[in-house]
Amino acid sequence: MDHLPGAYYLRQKVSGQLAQHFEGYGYQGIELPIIENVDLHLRKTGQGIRRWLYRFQDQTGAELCLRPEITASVVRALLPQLADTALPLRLHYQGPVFRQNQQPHQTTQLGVELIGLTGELAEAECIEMAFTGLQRLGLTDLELVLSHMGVVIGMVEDWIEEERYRDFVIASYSNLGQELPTVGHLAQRLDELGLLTPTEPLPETQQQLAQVLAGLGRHQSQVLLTGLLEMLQMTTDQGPTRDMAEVVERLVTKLDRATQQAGVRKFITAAQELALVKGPAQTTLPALAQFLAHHGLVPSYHRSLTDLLGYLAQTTLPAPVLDFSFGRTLHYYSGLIFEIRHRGVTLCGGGRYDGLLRSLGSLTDCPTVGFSYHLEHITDALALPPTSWQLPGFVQVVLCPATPTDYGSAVQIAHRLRAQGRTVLVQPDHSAPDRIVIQGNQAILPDGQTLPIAGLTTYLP
Amino acid sequence: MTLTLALPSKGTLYESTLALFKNCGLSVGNTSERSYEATIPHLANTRVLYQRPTEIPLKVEEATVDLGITGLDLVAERGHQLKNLVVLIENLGFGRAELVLAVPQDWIDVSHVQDLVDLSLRWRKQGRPLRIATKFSHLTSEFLEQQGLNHFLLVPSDGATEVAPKLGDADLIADTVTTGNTLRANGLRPIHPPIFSSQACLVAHRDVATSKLPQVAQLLDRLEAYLRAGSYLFLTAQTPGTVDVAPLIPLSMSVQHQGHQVSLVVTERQLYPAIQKLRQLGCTDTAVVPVKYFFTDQTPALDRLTTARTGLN
Repeated sequence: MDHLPGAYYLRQKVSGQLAQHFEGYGYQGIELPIIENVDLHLRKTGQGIRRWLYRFQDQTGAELCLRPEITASVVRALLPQLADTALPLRLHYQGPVFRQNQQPHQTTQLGVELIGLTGELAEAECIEMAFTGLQRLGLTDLELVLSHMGVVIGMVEDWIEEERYRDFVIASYSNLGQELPTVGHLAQRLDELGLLTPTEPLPETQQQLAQVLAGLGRHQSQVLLTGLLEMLQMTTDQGPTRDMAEVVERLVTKLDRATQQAGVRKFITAAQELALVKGPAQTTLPALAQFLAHHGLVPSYHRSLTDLLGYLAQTTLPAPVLDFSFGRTLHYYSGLIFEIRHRGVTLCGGGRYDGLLRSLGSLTDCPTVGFSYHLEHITDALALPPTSWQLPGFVQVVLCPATPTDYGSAVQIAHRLRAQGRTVLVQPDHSAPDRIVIQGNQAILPDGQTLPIAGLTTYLP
Repeated sequence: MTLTLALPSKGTLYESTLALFKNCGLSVGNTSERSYEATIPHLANTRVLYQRPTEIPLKVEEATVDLGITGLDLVAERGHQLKNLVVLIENLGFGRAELVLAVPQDWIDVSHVQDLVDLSLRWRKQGRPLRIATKFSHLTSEFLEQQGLNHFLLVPSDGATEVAPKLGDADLIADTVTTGNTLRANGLRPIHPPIFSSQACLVAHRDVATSKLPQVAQLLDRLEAYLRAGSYLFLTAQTPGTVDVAPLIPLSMSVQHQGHQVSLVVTERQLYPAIQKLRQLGCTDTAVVPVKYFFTDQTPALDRLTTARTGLN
């Protein structure tokens, strides 16, 4: 997308004001490369991202991509020095990001990361900063929407065992409200992935084995298989290439497809109920508590949201909305998620992603909250910038040397006027309206009045 | 102008290619003491260069040679770099191999690539990538990503890929297999589904000079006629007089009836149904011989080249 002068200055102003806003909260700026190793984004976001990443090989054969978002780069840059860095760390960034599944393919993100701080106070800090940042730009009619991925992850972890099933379910839920508008679409997608009904039945011998093991239960199945394997000495001459307990545990989980699919079905049924938990936060919270209790899920998510709402109520922010029928793509959120919308358009989104650093190679967990603004959506919400190539009034002074030998005097006085913050053109164009003709030491004003050229610095408004 | 044809320089592909050309009446004769160069006496203005199969796709791409015979897997692996190469015949009927993922025998919980998806996600949580040794990085990573497996690390391999897990360089491999014996000997087992099914193929640079087209057309016509004949059989039977051959048409590639004789071409599978039909028509004394060539007015390989050449303009 081309940003002509009008849009350019609006973008500069907005990004400058937001950076200043972040810095007022103690967030330091950071700038990171646009080209990253493709592995970083595949590791962070996992399956699905491949289809819309801009990726390519360099001359050495390294697989690279244009970043689809900036958080992964922040973490990549920080990880080698994480152990030596005092936490919490507050950072802000801005720059272009690229995705093939969006129009336009290039957009601009401005965002923050608050690394190393747990708790609802950190979340309140980010939400309050995100909201007031938009208010400072003059935007009104803003809506704050909250949800909690912890509820979804809790359901998945309680009801589904196989990692592949969990990953697909969470990834699909993250698309809820976007590529998958409703829970009905989500169910259809999971069915297409073979998570609700088997697409490839187990071979017959394995089916029989699965039936026998189902009767024995988990623990006894593992004892039986481990014993058998030891007797058969099923290891290579170099010793086992994997921990045999892991192999047996996975085999038992895998054969128990009925439980996996029952888990996914239970998830879908509950997700339909959860999507109805929607409305003004204070009045909707009891419905969440009821949902958690009904499904035997831990009440901690409810407590966490209650605490967060308690902090937000003490700020100037309007009352937020709770809405469990949306997800945020790039499914690495582990807890709170939020969006700030302006007349239905999302200007800002973020949340908590405590597991991200570990999945990118950190040896310890590190709590992280963050959000990013969508610059183009913000500027669209603010005003329609003029689309002409010439901004009216951009050039304040036109100096016109009367003869070629007057050029030197004109350049010198132009420097002095620019030092005062004026935009000055020096051009021998006598047709320009409002031109000031420079002749020797004299400046001839548009109305014919003559001044010594030094007098221009005080004469001009 | 002389047409240059790159043929595999060694191994089973070398022997099978020479056998194919001989069967097509185009025996390759050595004319030079330098054994990497030869001619085909029955195909004028044609030079044969023996090259390593792995190098042939790039030689064709660079137009160092006009045509080449190599493995389809080798072409597919370099697919993204080959802008000028056209596959004219993708199944020459030999050099069959499958590119498969193979895991250590003791991974009894892994029989399908979906098991690897699950395993890679488990390992990801431990910060451990699934390491896969292969010579086919492109085909392997494309396949794995299609299957939803993104958390893996490819270990490039030049030599014997199948020993990588034993040496601890990789957890599993992706390699081509024909019999599976090498895998078994190294304590590995293939899993489903295969990544790619390959056989020897004939490729060309799409901008082959017009002056070389007569040789190309003859070569393609002979190869296709031979490959088409495949399992075809030629039947001649004595008829009691004029008979209605209509019931034979659906069974046969071609039917001719003249005087007291009917002749037809059928596949091995249609042989006995055809015999039965002939008997019903009152035919006797049916002789059956294998067909060596079957020329038709169809030239799909040449059509492919023509389409690719048109695309240039």
